[in-house]
Amino acid sequence: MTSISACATGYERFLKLKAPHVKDFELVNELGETPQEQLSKAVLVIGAGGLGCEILKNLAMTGFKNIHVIDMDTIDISNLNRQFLFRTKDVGKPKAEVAAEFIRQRSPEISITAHYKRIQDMPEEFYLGLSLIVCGLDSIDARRWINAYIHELADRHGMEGFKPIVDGGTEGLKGNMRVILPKVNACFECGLDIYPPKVTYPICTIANTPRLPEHCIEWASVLEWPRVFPDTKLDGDNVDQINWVVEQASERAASFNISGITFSLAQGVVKNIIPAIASTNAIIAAACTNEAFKIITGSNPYLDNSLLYVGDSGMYFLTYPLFQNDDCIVCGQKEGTIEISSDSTLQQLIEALQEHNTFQLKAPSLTYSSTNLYFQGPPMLEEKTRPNLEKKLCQLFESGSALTVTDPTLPTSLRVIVNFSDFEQQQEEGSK
Amino acid sequence: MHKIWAQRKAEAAVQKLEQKRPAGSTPAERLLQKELSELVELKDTKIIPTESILKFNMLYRPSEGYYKGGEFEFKFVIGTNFPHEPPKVLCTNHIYHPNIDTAGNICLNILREDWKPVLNIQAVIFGIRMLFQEPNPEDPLNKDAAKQMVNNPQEFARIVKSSMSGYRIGDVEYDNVLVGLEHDKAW
Amino acid sequence: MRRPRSVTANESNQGKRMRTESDKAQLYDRQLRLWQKDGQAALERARVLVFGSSTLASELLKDLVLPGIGEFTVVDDATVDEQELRTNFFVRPTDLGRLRAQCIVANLSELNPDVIGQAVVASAVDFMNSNTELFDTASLVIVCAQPESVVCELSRRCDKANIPMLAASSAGFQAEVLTSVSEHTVVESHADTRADLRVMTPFAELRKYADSVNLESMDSTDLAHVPYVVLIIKALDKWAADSGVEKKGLEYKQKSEIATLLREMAPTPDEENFSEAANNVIILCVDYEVPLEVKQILEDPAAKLIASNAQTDSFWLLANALRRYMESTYSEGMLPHSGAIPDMKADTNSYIELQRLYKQKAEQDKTELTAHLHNVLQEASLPSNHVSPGTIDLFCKNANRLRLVRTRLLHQVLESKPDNLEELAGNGVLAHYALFRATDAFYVKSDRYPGAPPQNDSPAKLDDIVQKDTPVLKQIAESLMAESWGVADPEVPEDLAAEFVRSGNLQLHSTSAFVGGILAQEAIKLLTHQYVPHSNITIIDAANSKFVATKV
Repeated sequence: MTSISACATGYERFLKLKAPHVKDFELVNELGETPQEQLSKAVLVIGAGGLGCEILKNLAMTGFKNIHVIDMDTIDISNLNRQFLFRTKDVGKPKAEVAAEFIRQRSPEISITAHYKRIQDMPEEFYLGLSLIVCGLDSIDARRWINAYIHELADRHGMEGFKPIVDGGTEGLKGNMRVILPKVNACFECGLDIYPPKVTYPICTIANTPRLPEHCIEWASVLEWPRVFPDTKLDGDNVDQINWVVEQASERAASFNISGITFSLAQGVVKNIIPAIASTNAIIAAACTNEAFKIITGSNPYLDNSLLYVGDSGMYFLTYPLFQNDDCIVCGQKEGTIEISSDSTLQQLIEALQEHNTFQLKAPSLTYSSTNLYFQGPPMLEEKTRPNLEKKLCQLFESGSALTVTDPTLPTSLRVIVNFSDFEQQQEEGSK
Repeated sequence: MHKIWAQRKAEAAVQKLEQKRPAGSTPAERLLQKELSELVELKDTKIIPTESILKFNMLYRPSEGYYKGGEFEFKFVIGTNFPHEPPKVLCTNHIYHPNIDTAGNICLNILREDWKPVLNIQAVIFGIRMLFQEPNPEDPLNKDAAKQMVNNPQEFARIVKSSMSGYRIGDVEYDNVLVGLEHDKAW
Repeated sequence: MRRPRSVTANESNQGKRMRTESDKAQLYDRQLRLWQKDGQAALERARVLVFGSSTLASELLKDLVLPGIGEFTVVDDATVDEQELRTNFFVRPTDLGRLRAQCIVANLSELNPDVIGQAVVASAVDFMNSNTELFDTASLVIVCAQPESVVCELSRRCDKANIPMLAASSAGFQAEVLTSVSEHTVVESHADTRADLRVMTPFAELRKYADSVNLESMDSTDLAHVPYVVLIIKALDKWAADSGVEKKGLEYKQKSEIATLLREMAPTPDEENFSEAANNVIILCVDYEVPLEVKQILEDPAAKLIASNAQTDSFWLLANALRRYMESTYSEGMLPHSGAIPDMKADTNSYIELQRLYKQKAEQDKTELTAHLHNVLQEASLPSNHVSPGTIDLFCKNANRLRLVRTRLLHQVLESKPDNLEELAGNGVLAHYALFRATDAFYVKSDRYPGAPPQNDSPAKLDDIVQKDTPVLKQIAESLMAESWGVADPEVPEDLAAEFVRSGNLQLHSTSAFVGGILAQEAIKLLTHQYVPHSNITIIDAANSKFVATKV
């Protein structure tokens, strides 16, 4: 036990004093790094919105020294009731950049980097360089992408590609948080059905038997808009366009004796707006940061693995372990390797997969990245991909490529890494 | 973090690979690959693929009912949020049908309010076939067609036939979707 | 593109308050969807008094300034030190050594120009004794990280001025939030309630409407669009006629028979509206019952007082009227109808007609209740317009989800034992609660917090201090439990005591942000009188990711 300065600040005490709740507590990790060194590694915050602003502030004030933030969005006036790193003068500017600049002004000793980009646009080296990811997103889509991507990194790079994800979400006075440890516990996809799909209404009700103001709004936005403006996508942020929807919907509502059409309701329906407030974001973002700090420093046990918060009637918290789904399309995906010579044909690879002792596939379909290599069906797709069967593997992909393989015998997909048995020989020839 | 990593389920040792490779498939693509390649083959439908498995067209030739003799085309677009969100399906032909409007919108519950992630493309295909075998005039999208079907089925059948030959009815011009006498032959 | 700015009259002459209604609608859009205009107006009228200016206070205030609280006052005489610079986002490196209350007020005010903030440099006790008016006009008092003696004094003071109070403190990963409110009434609780469709005892107009629907004469399209309310009433009639059983206190088996009957009535096996009807039989074919929480309000002495008792609070005057309404033959034991019905498969005309019937019933109920209210007002010698029509309307719309919250006052809690020892223990937080009390007792005794270095001592090793203080703190907590609370064999886990001591009672940013969020959430509920406040304690053990809301 080392001694530390008596005037240590709060979090320093937790880095240097023995942690009573951690078994086998050690001051340095397996790589011999001190907690301070661990906190100096890059962490990524995805989303610089309501949760993101809070998370950035929390990480900066909890001792994290190297923070990246990514967001492809710009600031809107309606963000300012909770996204406290932005001011009226910032409206229209990229969220990531303004948020990073604010933190930089407050804590110049921290390295903070903004990425005004999509998460899909960052290179693999970037993700490999991170120690942990905290997500403050409102989109299911982006969470599914990062979850699948991070699981793939863990598959391909082992410990080097192991990037825990702490994921937060809020809606009104409710929120949730998840600690996702790729390949260790349940992933985002395993718990996807927790998230209710967007409310939709039957199209025939909208067209013929409207009863609610929402039905009239959807009539205007889903049926009338594309009919009247076939070449323009309805933009929920465009006031003139929403006003058009309000006008059409009001007229229709009046003719059916329905009341209650307002601008706010129309925009809410069109944009699928979810209520959001500062306090709920603060609670969930703080819970996320706490878990991130504990995972990185080992200063206390982390949550396994989910938190639900409901604040509209009294105060209710539930922590529970979400179980891994064996057939999960992401973390349930099995992986295997096959060795085959580079001048084998795709047909021969398929045969090898069928004969392979561990795979024993019946009728595999194969894709590589987003290229369809071979599909067993439907007939026209089979026909279209059939010419590939005769091609040599080296014409289709490089050695070490991961193919996505599906087969009627498998509950989910299989990732097969194809190594060319003559790879080294090829390399040598190449260098000559 | 090493300790956490060491907790994962015993699996084959992870292969360490040095090459850079393009990002793998998304969950939606993986599901689509599995669903499409294992689709139950139906004599009356045909899938026309595009470069992306997230977009394809379906041709359907009903073998019975009012729409026998026609070939109908449907455009499927599957978003990256599939199966959290349903596929988007439009009928690309202008047709006279109680549950399909001239913009191609299809009133099928599982395409909107009753979609669940356990459903799949196959279920949607079955749903569409059902609409052509037994149109549902009780919850219409094309109200006039529905009224006609209930009040005067013979007249409805006549209008369906002439609409399928590409005639103009009222102020709507319909597409000729007839495939002629070879209809019963396989594609 | 932005909405056009509409200039209102008060824009130019209101000094600091420059935002127009339309600006506000945009700025506050995401929260107005929760608490609407009247909730926002209540927030903007509020004056919040905060004791303490540490990270906890800063974080809490951030979450109140952003949604546009009216005014806040921060009372503290502390200055900014190194620890605070590291954990409090709302002080700047240049603030070192300055008065902390002033620093955070300056930085927080910048978040929302509509909010008026002020700092008072004084200790809590001095402030209490000197700033009577500022104290007594506060809508809410929030106490952040103050010693228990101060909390108790503030609680007494709040009691006297009838002001609700929130208090919180934290030690590292550990924290507690307490609510102290003698009485808090909620009309708009936003509580989920069962659809109130009254199919078992249809009111006259509904009965007439249901009777006018002739299922036998309908074609299949029309049948597919009969609202399920009507279908259930028809099925109930038929079932009662066939079986000769009264439509009352139906058992599960009987309800199943009605559901089966509905499925048989359907023109096609899975006709949507008939399915909706069959599926709703179980929850709708029940005897009318007044929700427990509403019953408690009606039984409350405050709902029974009249006239001479000088009750002027609209809620209780209305509750009094509601009690009389419920006793009248008109009500048949049912609360005023809200006028709202859920969406159901139906053609437009049938649904709109049905909606009109329920709305009309709600209007009649409101008229009836208003008559009782006028009697109450007369007996209380209050003018008949003492309660506005809008208030009456809101009360009737929410009659089945009214809420009343009463907690023990904080000085009562802290100066005696917790009310629910078993519940605390059952939730696994009795030791946490005891350790918070013990931490304060340790401070009173030693003039330093457990784990904190002694002030005038030579710099000691922290490890040694922690090792020495842990058993002491554990012992204080255990003897408190045994001697003052009467717990047999009290046991405070050594690890947990050590975790408290490890913090040195210092605030961690993320714990403070968490607690600040909870305080703000509760403050908003108390100030808007919407949603239901927690009563009365939440314990946060972020070390073990354990969060428990319970009662003391």
